[in-house]
Amino acid sequence: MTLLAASVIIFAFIHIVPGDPIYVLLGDTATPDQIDALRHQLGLDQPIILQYLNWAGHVLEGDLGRSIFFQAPVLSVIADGAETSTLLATMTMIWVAVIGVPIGMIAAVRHGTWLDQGLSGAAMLMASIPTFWVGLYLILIFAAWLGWFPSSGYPSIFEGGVVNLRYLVLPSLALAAPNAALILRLTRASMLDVSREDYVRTARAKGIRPWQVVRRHIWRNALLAVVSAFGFTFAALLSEAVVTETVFALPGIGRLVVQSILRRDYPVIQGVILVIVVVYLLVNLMVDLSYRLLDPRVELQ
Amino acid sequence: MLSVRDLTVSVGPATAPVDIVAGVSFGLAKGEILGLVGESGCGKSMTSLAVMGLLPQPGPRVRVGEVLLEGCDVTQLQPWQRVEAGHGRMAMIFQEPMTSLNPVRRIGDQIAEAVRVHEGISGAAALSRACELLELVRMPDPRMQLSAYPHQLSGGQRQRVMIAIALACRPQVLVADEPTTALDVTIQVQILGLLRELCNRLDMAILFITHDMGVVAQLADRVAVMYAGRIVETAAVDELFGKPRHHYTRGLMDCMPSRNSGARRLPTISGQPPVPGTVAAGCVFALRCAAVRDVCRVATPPRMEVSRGHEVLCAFPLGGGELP
Repeated sequence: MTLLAASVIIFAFIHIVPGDPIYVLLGDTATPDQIDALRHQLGLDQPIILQYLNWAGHVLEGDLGRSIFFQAPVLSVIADGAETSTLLATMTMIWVAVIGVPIGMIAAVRHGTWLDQGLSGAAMLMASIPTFWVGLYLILIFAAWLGWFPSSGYPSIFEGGVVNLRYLVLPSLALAAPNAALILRLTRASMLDVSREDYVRTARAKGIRPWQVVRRHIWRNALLAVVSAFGFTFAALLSEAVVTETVFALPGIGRLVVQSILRRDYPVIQGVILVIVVVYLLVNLMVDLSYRLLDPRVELQ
Repeated sequence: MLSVRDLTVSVGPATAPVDIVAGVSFGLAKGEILGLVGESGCGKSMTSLAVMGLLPQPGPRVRVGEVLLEGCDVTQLQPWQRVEAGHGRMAMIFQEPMTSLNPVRRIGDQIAEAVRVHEGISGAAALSRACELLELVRMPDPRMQLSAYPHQLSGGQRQRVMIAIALACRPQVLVADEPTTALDVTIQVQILGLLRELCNRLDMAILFITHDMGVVAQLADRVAVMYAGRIVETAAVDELFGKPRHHYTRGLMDCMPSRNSGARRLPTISGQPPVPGTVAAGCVFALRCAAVRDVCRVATPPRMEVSRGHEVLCAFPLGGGELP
């Protein structure tokens, strides 16, 4: 249902935007005959409803169509960018989890101290700085001055081995910064909320040590709110990745979609967005399933 | 067993503290149930949390006074510090059984956790002790319930689990803060019966906090009536209900519906309790007292022992005993 709605919206919006792939392909010098011939060949002369039904029918058969610009199947065009984007997203989410969650916990446990204020302040700052700016500074410091990491591009790990992951360190950090900051603040707030619960008082009344109270009674309950935020974070990441992939010149899906929009490469735009919607739905399904593991009150239907 | 002396709990800055519990003293003998009664906001819950070392932080703090458990000073000690110091045999149960258990952990776990702290056993041994504790609180089918989650139990069952957790430390003193207020009347009777039985069987003293005079009459051996952060009257339960000496206690009893009060409108105590920190001098009850005299508004009333074990904080107690 969500997919159907998403596909209609994508299709409609793309065709509302002015511009024509024919001119991009043939340039200014094409004759009207050539234009008509190509338009007919691509099926762009049909009514938009028919174009949609035609496309949707093929999608159901697993065929996303052919790229107008690359003259190649959309699926293979997307597959080329998928490796970069998947690895970038995975690394980013790992950063978000390993930076945001523990530091948020520390801030909550040290609630009200200078450490908490410092960490929360830093998080606020990170959340407010645009991704591209963080990206540029990371390049400046770690690539240009220190030379620790490459500044741009990404050769596949299937060709150069796992060391090529170093190309993704800076972009994933840039992408993780604002999201880790949000998760940090959320973890902190959630821990503080839970620590005021009656059952935490019960735990303290048992005589268990303060950090055991945190570990056994506050942490897991606080994680419930944080886990659902991971779904939203992932959605934010998909759009921010467009900027990051551009700054770091990564051959990922984000950059592909931007370039395809400029080229009016309709099938690729539609395909990419459809894939993104599917991935987003899958991630949120995983979030819902992980709830089941964390919270016994949630029953699977 | 438990002795509380001059306990004063304050909020606000150290330079201008406001006392929400002011100089509360009471003792609790082995196997005795002391009912601490008073209306909402009179400081009875704060007293119980201060005794347990569970005052929320940051927030109210014990400014003056001491709490002695079997003669050992445990004032200002949180439960884990008390356990480390070897005075772990005091436990507490709370008003809200619905929210007092961790929703994501099994009942058995939550009891066994307390067993581990106090008995130094773990794993299967702790779980089998947890099962024994559930039997002790008359939980139906205890072995099955070990693996249940709190949301699968009723309110009364959850309160039984809370009592089982409290019993894990083999307490000499059990602090019960309105443990039956959130329960149905029928369940309330069962839980009160259980507490009475445990008190006798385990020779455990109970500090029972409530606003319900009826519950006190039914359960307690002795009663302390609290008003505006002070204990205004203490007596054995029969004595207090038979011959109340403080005007506030008397007022409370007049408010209780009885079988022969019929359709008559119940009398009430007019006015509101004072906001903490607003009574500068005199008796805290002066504003609402029917028998108030001029001196009550300026002089702090004395604590008088009107008969053996019957103390009253009033200059002109009911039934005579005025100061010479």
